[in-house]
Parts: sequence; structure tokens; C-alpha cells
Amino acid sequence: MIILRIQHPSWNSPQVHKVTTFPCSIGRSIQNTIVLSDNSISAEHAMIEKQMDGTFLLRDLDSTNGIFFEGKRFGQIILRDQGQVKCGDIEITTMLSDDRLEKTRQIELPAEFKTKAQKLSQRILLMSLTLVLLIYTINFLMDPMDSEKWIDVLVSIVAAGVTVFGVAGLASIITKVQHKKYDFLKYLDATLMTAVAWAVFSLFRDRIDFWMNNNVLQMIFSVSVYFAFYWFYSNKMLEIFFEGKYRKRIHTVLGSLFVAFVIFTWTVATFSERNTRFNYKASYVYTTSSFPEGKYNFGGLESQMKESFTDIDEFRSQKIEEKEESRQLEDSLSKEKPE
Amino acid sequence: MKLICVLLSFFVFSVMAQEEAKIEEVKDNDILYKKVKPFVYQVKTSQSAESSKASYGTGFVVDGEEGLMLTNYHVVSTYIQDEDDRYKIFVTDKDEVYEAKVLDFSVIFDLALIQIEKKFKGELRIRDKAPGRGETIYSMGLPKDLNISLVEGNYNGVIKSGIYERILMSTPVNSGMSGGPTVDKWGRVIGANVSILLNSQNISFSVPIDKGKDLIESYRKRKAPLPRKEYVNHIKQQLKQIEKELFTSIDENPGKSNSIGAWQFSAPDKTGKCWSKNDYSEKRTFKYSRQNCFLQGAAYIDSSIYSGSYEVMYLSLESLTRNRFQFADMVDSFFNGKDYLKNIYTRFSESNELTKFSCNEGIITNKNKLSFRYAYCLNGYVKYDGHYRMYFKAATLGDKRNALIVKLKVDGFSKEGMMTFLKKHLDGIQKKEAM
Repeated sequence: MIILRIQHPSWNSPQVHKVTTFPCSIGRSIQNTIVLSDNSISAEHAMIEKQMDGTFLLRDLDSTNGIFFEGKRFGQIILRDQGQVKCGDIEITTMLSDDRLEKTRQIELPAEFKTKAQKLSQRILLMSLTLVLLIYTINFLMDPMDSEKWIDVLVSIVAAGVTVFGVAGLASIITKVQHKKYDFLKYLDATLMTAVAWAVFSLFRDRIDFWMNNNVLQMIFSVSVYFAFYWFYSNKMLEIFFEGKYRKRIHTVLGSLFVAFVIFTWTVATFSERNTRFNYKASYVYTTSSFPEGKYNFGGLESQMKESFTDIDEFRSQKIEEKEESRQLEDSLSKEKPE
Repeated sequence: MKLICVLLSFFVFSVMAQEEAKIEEVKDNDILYKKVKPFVYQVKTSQSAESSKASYGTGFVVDGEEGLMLTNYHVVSTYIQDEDDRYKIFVTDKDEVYEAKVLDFSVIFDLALIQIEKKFKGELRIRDKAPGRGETIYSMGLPKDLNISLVEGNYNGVIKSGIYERILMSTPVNSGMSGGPTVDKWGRVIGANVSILLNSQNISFSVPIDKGKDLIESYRKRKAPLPRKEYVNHIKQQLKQIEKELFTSIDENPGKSNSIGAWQFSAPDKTGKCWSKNDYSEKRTFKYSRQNCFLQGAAYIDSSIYSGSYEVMYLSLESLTRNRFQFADMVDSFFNGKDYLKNIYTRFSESNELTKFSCNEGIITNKNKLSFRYAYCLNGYVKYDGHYRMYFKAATLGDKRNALIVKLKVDGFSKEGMMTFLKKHLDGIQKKEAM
């Protein structure tokens, strides 16, 4: 048995034929075993025959355009593994060796077959569109759109594009030395994903206060959203960078550690600073909830302030203690000095 | 020819007349200078009589027999605030140096009564009646540590803001003249130089001398100088007094109900000063109006503490072309306003006299059913327990097109005072009824 991979320059994807019965005829007419409807092919173009010694022979049936091997026209050609012959404009790759056959037997090609590179470029296009949309949304939520604002949006889109492409290009140039491979698309995928993640975060982080007014709920919700997002993101990144050598268990652990670290620092940074800084996000102007007088009365403020007062009294005694200590230290130092 | 002669003679006459007047004036001031100068001395705080000074000002004699002198509290505050007894107060003339002790002081009126062991022949007389507006007055002191100087200006009445009272004058007073006497043409004391208004021309203030008289009386009643240990309590009492007086002043002089934008609120004390501004934003996407009211005057306690004062700001925002998201974003940026923050962050810096801040946030609904989001930061004085400082800000919730932001700054109030002040201001806010 042999496998023929038939490719024409104008086709999107090659045709693949398993040939199990011999002789096998190739031509434009429908009486042939393999029908190739192309103008460069004659009605009865060629014939594959199995010879006594086990080799396969491709014989020209006096066709107009003939059969070629390595650019030269022959009457008959002995087929080799991975050999390429040409019938008219059509290229035929033949596969003979057994283990290759084993492997190829497994493949079931879908009707619309896409290569990996094609898939990648499609994703990149999708992500670029998402990024543009996010940039627009961020800007739109801030100010009414007018000509100046549009210029702002365009500038930020261009800046984002330049950064993303630039970083990807740099990364691919630097890694080329080591990997001996120029993987621009791979890095572009990674940088674009980072950019999208960043845009989603900034949108989410800056605006959560607008629609959620309970601190505890806010914290739980944010932590879970961040966790889910970082989880997805870190796994995707690992997949991209460790492409072939992706070891699931180790990388899952690594990814979890990374996510835990990010979540921890974020939580600490956001929720501990709230009590030491005077910069709070947002008044819930477009909140839909109302705040009844009974629940949100001065009692709440009063009890909060009472807590603050006790805090301050504590700070005060701390400060006095510090002062005392430094004074004692000064005294002891001045005593030690010889007069 | 005749005409010219007449003109000329007139000219000569006029010049002569002017010169005469000038000489008289100079002669007059010369006498005044000679009359007042013997009772005006430099007051400095330093570690010893010879060592260079930590702070300095001027003082004047009010009782020659006992050697009583009046000066500003802020001139001797280095000594009063010093807990380690490093500094002493000295009264100096060119050759003589006397050590002085503090008998009494008032942070409200920025006055201190000190005593030196020297007997003077006479003293500066105190004027009982207030001068008439526009009357020529003089200030004496040692500007920038140069020489005792006499400067001239006019009396422009007394400015009362809450508990604080100051004489407004047009005398070019400089640093170093603090604590010097403000006298009338006859050399009678009407006040003690205290401060100037920054970024202005010749706007200066002095403390009415009645306050000095009160200080002397209270000392005479007690018959003993204020003990050193009592200084902190004395200041605390005065802070309490300031707070009490401020609240009575707020109750007695309620400002008219004010309104900006779509909001109405009770204006603070009439004696405070208010500024307001209405404008459109750069691209006319929203309209804003702001009213800023503050008390003119604060009690100087330490170089890092000005206490017993408050400031209230109302800012109304109205959306013109912004949708609710864009409006919310803008309210947000105003709530965390950059200029206000800059102003605050300079005060957020660490100080030995102030504790750390304790901040919190939340939502509150006032009696007019208006909901606010608020945030506040509180801290206190290390020495004067029971007195606190607060920055408070709140923004109204729930309206798509209108918002009001309130910012309050209160210095030196007690726990209860803070709460009362907040409640008063927040409950006073309501939405203007639809026209």
C-alpha cells in the first residue's frame, strides 16, 4: 500500500489518497481510480503498477503534459518514500515506509483543514480586535467622545500596537540565537495576550467600586475573578513558551504558585492600603441600589469614628513611649561621655 | 512777568509749607520714638544668655514696678513647648540681658505675659477706648533683628472670626516685630503686633490690648506664675474654650441657607469667609460651582500645629453632555481631587507632634434621605490628648446628572465636637425642590 499526497498550487489543502489495489490509474476521466480534474492532466494520464520485486512504478500513458521527476520528463518512474513526482501541474508526494504508514494511518483529516500557523494568525487577529475594543471602551467610559478623544484613542491603539509588535519582535530576535528558530508569531501571541489581560484588569480594577458597594463581597468577587483570569492566563503562557516540553504537573504547580503570589500581593496592596490612604475609588453614582436611612445612619459613622479615636489614642501612647525611649537613650549616652 | 513772579512765589511758598509740615511730622515721630523706645526690648529664646537664639521677637513693658512685659505667645513658644528645659527666655537691650519667666499665656490671642527682674521708671500706658477707623497708628519692634524701628500705618477696625479677634492695620510689619507694641499718636498701647497676611501689601494684624489686660488680671488674681507642669493643661483648656466658643458662634450667627447647583445646604458661621466660583468645564461637558468657607484665624501652638479652626468646601457638579458612566468617572476624580490631595498629603507627613492617621470609609444617609459615600482620616495631637484633627469628604449618590461633594477640615476639636460638626453639616444638605 502507498499513500499519495496530491497538491496543486491553487488548492487550499492537499488531497490524500490511500492506494491499496494495483494497477491504479490516474487521469481526468471518471473511469480512473484517482480522478484529478485539472486542465494539465490528460483523460488517461498515468498508471501505478506493483512490480514483482515489491517496488511501485509510475508509467506515463502517452499524456500531453507527461510525468516529471526532479524537473525531467520520464516515461516511467520508480516511486520512492517521500519522493516527489509531478503530473502536469500537480505535485504528488508518495509515502512508502511502514512506520510512516502506521502514523499516517491515524490521521483523519477534517473537511476544512487548517495548519497551526493559520490557527495562530486567526487568534492573533481576534485578540488584536479585542484589544482595540478594550482601548476604546476604557476611553469611552472616561470622557465623551469628540475629535480630540478619537485622536487619543487612535494614538493609544497605535502605541499599544507598536509596543506589542516591538516586544514580540525583540523577543523573537533574542531567542533566535538559542532556539535557532524565528518564532515571531508565538511571541506576538504571548504579548498580545498580556496586553489584553492588562486592559481587562485596568477596566475591572478601576470600576469595581461603581457597581459593588459591599467591601467583603467586593473582595471575594475580585479575588475569584483575578484567580480565574490569572489561572487561565498563566496556563496559556506556559503552553506558549513550553510548547513541546509542556509537562503538565510541574507547570500546573508553577502556575498555581504564580497565581497565588499575584493574588496575595494584590489583596494586600488593595485592602490594607485602604486604611492608611485617603484615596478611595468612586462614588457609586450609577449604582442601582438605594441606601435606606435606617441602615446607613450616623450610628455607623459614629462607631467607625470611635474605633478611629481608640486607634489614635493607641498611636499616641506609642509615640510617647518612643519619645521616652529616645530620651532615655540620650541620657545614657550623655552619662557615658567622660567629662 | 508779574504773572510769573506770582506763580514763582506761590511755588516757593508751597515748597516751604511742605517742608515745614514734614519737619513737624518727623519731630513728632521722633518724640514718639523717644517716648516708647525705653519700654521696648528684644525677647529671645536660647540655651544661655550668650548663645545664639532659637527664636526671637519683641516685648514691651506694661508694669514698670513689677517688670511685667507682654509679648506674643509664638515668640516664646519654643520655651513653652520644650519639655527638656533646654531653652530659656531672655530680654535683651544692647548691653543688658535679663532672664525672664513666663507668668501666663494665651494661645487663642497669641499673647504671653513675662516678668524680668528689673524696675522701670514708668511703663507704656494702655488706651482704654478703641481708636477711630483711619486713625494713624504706629508699630514698634526689631524687624529681622536689625534695630528697634517705628513704622506707621492706619487703624482699620477689629476683625472678628469665631473666637478670634485681630486689629486690622496697614502697617508694614516684618518678622521680628512680633510682640512689639502697636501705639497711637500719643504713645498709648492699643495692641500687640502679631501677624501679616501673606501675599499681600501691608496687611497686618495685632491683638487688641484688652486681651492683654485680661491676661494681666488673671495673673493678678492667681498671684503666682503658671507652673511649668500646667502648661499642657493650660493649652488644653484653651483648646476646649475655642471649641465651645466656635460652636456658640456657629449657633448664634447661622449663615443663610446657601445653594449651589441643584443643592441646598446650611452655610457655616457668618463670621467665616467664603469664596465661590462657577464655571463650565473646558469642553463644556459639565458645569461646576464651588463654595469654600473658612474661619479667619487659628491658634498657633507649635511650628507644626495650628489648631482650633475649620474649613468647609461644597462642590456641585452637573453633567451637560456626559452619560452616567462618564459623569460617575468625573465625580470620582473630583472626589479624589488632585489639588485637594496635594494639599492634604503635605499634612500627611510624619510629625513628632501628631499621631498617625486612622482612616475609614462608608455610606451614610442623612435626615433628608440623601445618601453619601464618605471617607475620612483622623489623627490627634501627641501632647494634647482629647483633641483631634479630621479630614472628611463625602459625595452624594444615586443621581445620574447631579452630584455634590463636601469636604471638611477640622482642627483641634474633641470627639463629641467632631461628631456634632459633621452631623450639622451633613444634615444641612438637601436637594433643591424642583422649580
